[in-house]
Amino acid sequence: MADKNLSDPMDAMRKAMGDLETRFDEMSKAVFGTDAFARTTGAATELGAKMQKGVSDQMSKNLEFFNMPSRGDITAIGERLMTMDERLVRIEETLARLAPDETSTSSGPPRTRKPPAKKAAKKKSD
Amino acid sequence: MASATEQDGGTSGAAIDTLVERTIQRNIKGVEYFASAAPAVGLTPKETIYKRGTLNLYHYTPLVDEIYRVPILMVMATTNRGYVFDIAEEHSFVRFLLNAGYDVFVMDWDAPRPEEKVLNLDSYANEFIGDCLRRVREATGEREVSLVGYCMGGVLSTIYTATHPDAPIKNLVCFTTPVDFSEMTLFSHMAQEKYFDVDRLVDAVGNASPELLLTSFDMLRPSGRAAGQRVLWDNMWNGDFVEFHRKMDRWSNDMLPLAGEYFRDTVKKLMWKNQLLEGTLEVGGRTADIGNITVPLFHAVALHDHIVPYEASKHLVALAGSEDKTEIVLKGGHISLIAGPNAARRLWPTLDEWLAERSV
Repeated sequence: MADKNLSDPMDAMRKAMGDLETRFDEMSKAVFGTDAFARTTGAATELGAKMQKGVSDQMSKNLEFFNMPSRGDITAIGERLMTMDERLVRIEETLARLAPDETSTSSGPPRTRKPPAKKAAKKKSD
Repeated sequence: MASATEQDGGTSGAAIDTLVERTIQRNIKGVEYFASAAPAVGLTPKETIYKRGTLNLYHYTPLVDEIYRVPILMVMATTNRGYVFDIAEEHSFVRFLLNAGYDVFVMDWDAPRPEEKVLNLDSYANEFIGDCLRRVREATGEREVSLVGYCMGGVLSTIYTATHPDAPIKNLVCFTTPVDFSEMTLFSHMAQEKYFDVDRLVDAVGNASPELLLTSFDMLRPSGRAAGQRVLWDNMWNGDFVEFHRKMDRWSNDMLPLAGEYFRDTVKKLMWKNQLLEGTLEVGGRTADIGNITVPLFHAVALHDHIVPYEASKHLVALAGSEDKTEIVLKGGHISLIAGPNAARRLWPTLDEWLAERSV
């Protein structure tokens, strides 16, 4: 960490840079806060998404032409695996409800710790 | 006796010596900086006791001989990796809690895969947390669990507790948790319904890219990156500073995509309709009314939080139905509140003091 006890000849420069950054942030946020900026960013995000979708669709067609699986095909397999995973979770939940595991206990240290006395005395509530 | 002029000369001489020494060290350590590998993070021993797609549930190995009865389940924000809780051995929140005698579990996230675009707010706030609570209870044999959430992890924990008032949650602890999303000024401005077509984005690309999120965060403090590099260069002579800076820099750039439907829900239900504040948010067929929260509640917010301003987070404690509730405002920013030397000095001991007596 910076040593603040020494008088550093660069301190003035640091302060000037810090002030400059603060002013730059304020100016930038004033621009970002305009409706025009929000509209432009929204349009740019939408354009980017459209382009990505267009490239993806074209790539799927090309892969299909070469008889190869597309990203969509792999994703579809992933979705099926995820569905199976969710079913397993539901089955586990049901089993746990019907037949709770009585042997399931912690094998770690004993859970008998008490808070230090001075801490227990303090309490702060709204 | 030395004259004032001689003393001034001596002080100036020492300052110039320091300046020269640091300049030399900057050059030596600057070369080391570029030549060395990325520093390791998340080294506290742990076991992944459950994995389900994007979700990982870690159980950290206890470090003391006797622990509190009630385990802690920490819920990481969905935008970033959970190793911020264990960024470095001397600055590890997890290690602090373990040494203080808590049994610590962490819900961490991997990047959601393309097929996980269907995960929504219900999946995260209801299914994942419910699933992990059950596994923590199985692993510990304890019925009650303290739920601890950071940022959006705090939102998910709040929603779960509000929608499951009968769940065996012993305590709810939140850090910088937004409730009034209209006060997330730049985010809500950029995501206005009339300019931002979230449906088209999610329908077209599935998961929301981390670049989109990183750009949004950068816009909150546009000079942040340049300032970070300037401060790094200024402190390049200081090995400890450089190492910690590299770790935090790695973490803040290691952003995760957001599952498509979860992103859509966040924008529509939380940003546009502000349903969490209004008490109209429906998750898993239940209404997330913060007034339903009756367990002991601790909320820590940061004085200089540029991501979640106090105006956005102040409603959590005010709205909660708990009789035992505490809000503390600590010096620091959104990240330095929970990680690093500032957190080690301020938040961690304060939380320990509050939580210890409620964990027996």
